Amino acid sequence: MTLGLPDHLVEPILSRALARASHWFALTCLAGALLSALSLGLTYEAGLLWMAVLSVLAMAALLVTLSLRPTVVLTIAYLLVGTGGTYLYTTDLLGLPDVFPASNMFLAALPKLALIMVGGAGSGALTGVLWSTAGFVLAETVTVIAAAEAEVTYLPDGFTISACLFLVAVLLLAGTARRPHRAAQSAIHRAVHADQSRLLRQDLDLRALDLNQDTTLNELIALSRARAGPLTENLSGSIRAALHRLRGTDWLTDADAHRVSHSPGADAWLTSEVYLAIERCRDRGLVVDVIGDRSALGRLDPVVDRELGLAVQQCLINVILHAGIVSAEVDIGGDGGIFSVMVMDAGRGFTESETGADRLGLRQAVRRRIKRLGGSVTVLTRPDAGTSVLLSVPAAAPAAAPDGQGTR
Amino acid sequence: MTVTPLAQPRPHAQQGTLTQQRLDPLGALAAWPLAPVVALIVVAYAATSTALQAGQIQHPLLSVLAIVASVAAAGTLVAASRPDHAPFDRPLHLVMVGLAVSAHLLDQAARWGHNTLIQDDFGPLSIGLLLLALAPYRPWREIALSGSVAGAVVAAVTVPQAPFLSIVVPPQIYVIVAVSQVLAPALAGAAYSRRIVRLLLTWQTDARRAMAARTEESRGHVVRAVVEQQWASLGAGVFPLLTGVLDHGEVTRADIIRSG
Repeated sequence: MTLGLPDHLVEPILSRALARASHWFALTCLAGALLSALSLGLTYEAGLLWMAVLSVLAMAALLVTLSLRPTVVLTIAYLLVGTGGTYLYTTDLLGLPDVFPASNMFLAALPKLALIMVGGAGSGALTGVLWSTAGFVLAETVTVIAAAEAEVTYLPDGFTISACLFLVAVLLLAGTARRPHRAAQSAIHRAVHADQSRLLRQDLDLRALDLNQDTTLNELIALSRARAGPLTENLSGSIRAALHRLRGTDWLTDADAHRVSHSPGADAWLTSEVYLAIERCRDRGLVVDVIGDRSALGRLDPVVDRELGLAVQQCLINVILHAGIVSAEVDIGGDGGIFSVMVMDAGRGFTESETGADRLGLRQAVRRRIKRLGGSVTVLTRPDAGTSVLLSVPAAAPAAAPDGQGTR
Repeated sequence: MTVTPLAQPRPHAQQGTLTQQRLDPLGALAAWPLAPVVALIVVAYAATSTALQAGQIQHPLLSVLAIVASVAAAGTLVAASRPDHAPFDRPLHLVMVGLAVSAHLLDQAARWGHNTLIQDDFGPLSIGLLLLALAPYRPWREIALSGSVAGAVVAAVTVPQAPFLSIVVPPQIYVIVAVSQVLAPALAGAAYSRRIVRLLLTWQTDARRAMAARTEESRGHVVRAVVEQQWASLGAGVFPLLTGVLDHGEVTRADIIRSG
């Protein structure tokens, strides 16, 4: 079974793949333009075409750099150098005497296509569309000027217009279209998790079955074949050993046997609302590492546990929606009468005072909820430095009323 | 005991044969609308181009066959990329490319000796667009290889037409014009396929690791459940029987009957 790509990763991954595709399209066009300029330069002995060759080479070099390190500065540099290069190339090409009747030749469109294909460098759909449109406008503008200077009729070429429209349509589709069957993605993650647990259970069941067959059946057969009367030494020893094996945990691996020794903390963790909240976010594709004293959750009142679970879930949803990262860490700890959970991510962070009024998650779902429990919330964040949210609640706090009538 | 088959990342050697459709079926499903759109563009371009350049057509039957082949190639793309037909396999890939190249060959034969411009022939761009549309469904190597082979065929039928064309430039310029229309979209499709497969594999490796760790968290719970079930099932009959025999130091007829 394949894991579905989480929704929050769809756009960045598609954007990067489309960027790479558009850059290869552009590089192929530039290769064509370069070969054309070289070929025409040699055929017509037009020295000026060497400027076209150099400008195409400069565009290609910048495009490769942009593809490896997509930044706004490099994108602007590519657009500027590309505009100049397109102008030089088109002027030289159309300037060849009595060769090209108009500007709508495919050869003249090659650097223009390369300029438009900068569109994929944007990190989002709208950004990509804007870059691409800018490339189109600049390319057509210099073509009009070059055609006028070469005294050749300017005609818009269908290749450039079609390519621009096609790229814009693909970028918008990638950026705005939501996936069909979105619910299936969480279901896939749950199914894979269930499948893993089922495999583990099946393996342990098989071991238990082997034990039964090896030990229990042998003893029962021996007993059924025995004669009524005093127990023989052999049978007595055999039954004693069998009971020892059946009551023991030797059939498990050391690590699993260790787990059988009762650890109520682990059960408290697995049945806690905090654990369930983390599982729900994992179902959405977030990678959550849990560290700290999980058994401390057993000390929480059920209502506090439920409210804390919802607060932790909101913090993790904020990571999914706003952090621009696919992993988070949850640190659980208890100290005296205080129980704390810290949700940390290494994402893009934010300035809390500048969050919009619509960002109710942290304000409503986290702060008010924890305050009702008599606890506190501390947010440590700054742009590009990740976010840590520390939720602290009294370990034996009185149950907060769900309707908000609790302590304030 | 290790029950973590998902924890093993796919070998990088397989990357050349993997596709977005296999790694992220929901993603390929979301991209599916592009296939009929590309098919529609290809058919419309072939029909319009043929109608507008009717004066160059010397063999109308070949021209009609070229359009039919073009429609068949576009139809193959749409049919093979349909979600209920997944995965898009190699034979259909070859059929589609074969039909598209045939359409170009038939079109060139229909106007042989009277073709005025290479750049407005529908064949090269149609092949390129169809290969571009394969990006979510086929491995990058096969898309790139198809583009190269189709480009070579296009070049081979372009060069002999040089003397008849209206714009007088060196023959290699015609080849550049024709082949660029095939290679640019085809290589873009191959680059998309390669990049998205690598990004998906990276994500899946991380996700599998997390999934294994997640299962590990509940391992103790499962182990205890199995042991308790084991003890409960034995506690009803086996333990009392064996313990009773040991305690009494003798085997009774009732014990023999119970053990049987």
